[in-house]
Amino acid sequence: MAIIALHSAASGLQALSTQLDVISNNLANANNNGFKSSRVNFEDLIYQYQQVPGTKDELGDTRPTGIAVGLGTRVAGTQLDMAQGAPITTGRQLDVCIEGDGMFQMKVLPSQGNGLAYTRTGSFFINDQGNLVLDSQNGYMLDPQIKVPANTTDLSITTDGRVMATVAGTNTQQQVGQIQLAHFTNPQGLLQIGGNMYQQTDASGPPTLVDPGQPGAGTLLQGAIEASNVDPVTQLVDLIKTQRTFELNSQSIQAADQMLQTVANLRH
Amino acid sequence: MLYGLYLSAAGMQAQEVRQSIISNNLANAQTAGFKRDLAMMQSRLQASQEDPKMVPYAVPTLRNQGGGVSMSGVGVDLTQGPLEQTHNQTDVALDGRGFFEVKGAKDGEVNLTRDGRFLLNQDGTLVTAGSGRPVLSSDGQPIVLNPALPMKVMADGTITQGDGSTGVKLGLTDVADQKDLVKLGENLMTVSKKDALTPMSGTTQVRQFTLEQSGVDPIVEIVGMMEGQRAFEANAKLISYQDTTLSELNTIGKVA
Repeated sequence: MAIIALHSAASGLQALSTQLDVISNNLANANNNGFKSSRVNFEDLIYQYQQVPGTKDELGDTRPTGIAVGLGTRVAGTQLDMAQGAPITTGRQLDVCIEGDGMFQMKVLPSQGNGLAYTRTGSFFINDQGNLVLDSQNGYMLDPQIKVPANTTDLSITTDGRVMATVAGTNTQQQVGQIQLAHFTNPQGLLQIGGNMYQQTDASGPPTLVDPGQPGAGTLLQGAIEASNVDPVTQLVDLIKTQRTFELNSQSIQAADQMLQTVANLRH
Repeated sequence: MLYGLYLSAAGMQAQEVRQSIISNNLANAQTAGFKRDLAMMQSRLQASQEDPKMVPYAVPTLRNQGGGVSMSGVGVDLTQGPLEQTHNQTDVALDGRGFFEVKGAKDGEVNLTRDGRFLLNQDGTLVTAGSGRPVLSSDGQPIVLNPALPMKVMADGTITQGDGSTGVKLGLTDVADQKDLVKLGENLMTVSKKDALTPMSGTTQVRQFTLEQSGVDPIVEIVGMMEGQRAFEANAKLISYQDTTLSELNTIGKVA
């Protein structure tokens, strides 16, 4: 019956509404520093074969094609776009932008995964203990931990991740720590836990901690922060495509519905 | 008389299958690398020809009666889909004929896809983004890359990393006759017979940072849908007429 058409159109509507959700979230985070946009990947569902290619007909001829009716579409997955966001110069000493791959490793609550999470948002603060913490509601601490001496007057972070402090009363810089970046084999397999934080999964593979500038990790830029990599133009074009395709699929439902009505009215 | 009733019913059935195929095309209007299906209909042979062994009809005019319509098959329309730029270095698209080879569900089996949304899994193996199937090289082996280094895909499908000294080539193949393609879902296809695969033609180019969008053209599909629905209704109307005629016949035959 036209029931197959109804269901494949419905599968399209479902997948497209997921796409709308993802685009809305991307646009909502267009000004969220360090945010990475996601895209929805579609794939076709299985095909119902009413006749397999190569079957013989009544006259013994081999049919060159089969009759396959596809059953619609589904969301195969959402994929993170790990492209670099533009560095925005803030001039703030504790803003650090990663230019290239890699992520800051943060200590989170032990109940969250294995107690470690990863972020691209390098907006740090110094807490009451002198530790570098993230500008998040929970004040997650950078790992490996970096302790800044209490009477520091100036702090500089080199491109390769060395944190140099100038203590009051001296003119020389001393190294107080080394920022390391985590690198994943498949960063698109990370788990998004909100707060611009990601956690490792079996799909992402374990992190490799390396100094900035080493293969797989970018370099650091002090006094800048990475802007969201959401491109509003692309998102709006996708939004238009999503909405129109949604309408097209609702047309399929209407057509199937009217055909069913025709059948229902066959007999007077 | 009754014969016509079945012809109209066959018409409705064929249009209904066509409508399901159009619905599936429209549902996949955003599926990367999707190729639209084409419902092919043909008029059936005359009843006497369709089954020669059948006892000849008593009424000579019925022998030449047309057999109505049937679905002859579903073709895959391999028209190039529009190419879209992306930021992802593992997004590749084919500009021209051909398919990427990916590992099939069974060992030694090769599936085909036009969907070039690949990524590196936890082992550094290049896999399809949806189903995680390893993408095969021209030697039929999975492609393992160093995730720490950027990759470059040449127009002929050769992937190089770092200094460019190591090169592995994407497995590409073409199908001589698109009638041999069998769709499997998950954006994968296979062929109904082994010898259907042919080497790639030289004109196809592999493009990195690019995705091939769905080959579905909404205008074509909506027009087909309108056409199909009206043909369906026309056949339904004919069934109604024939029903009315039959009911007239019944009243004539009634004994007072």
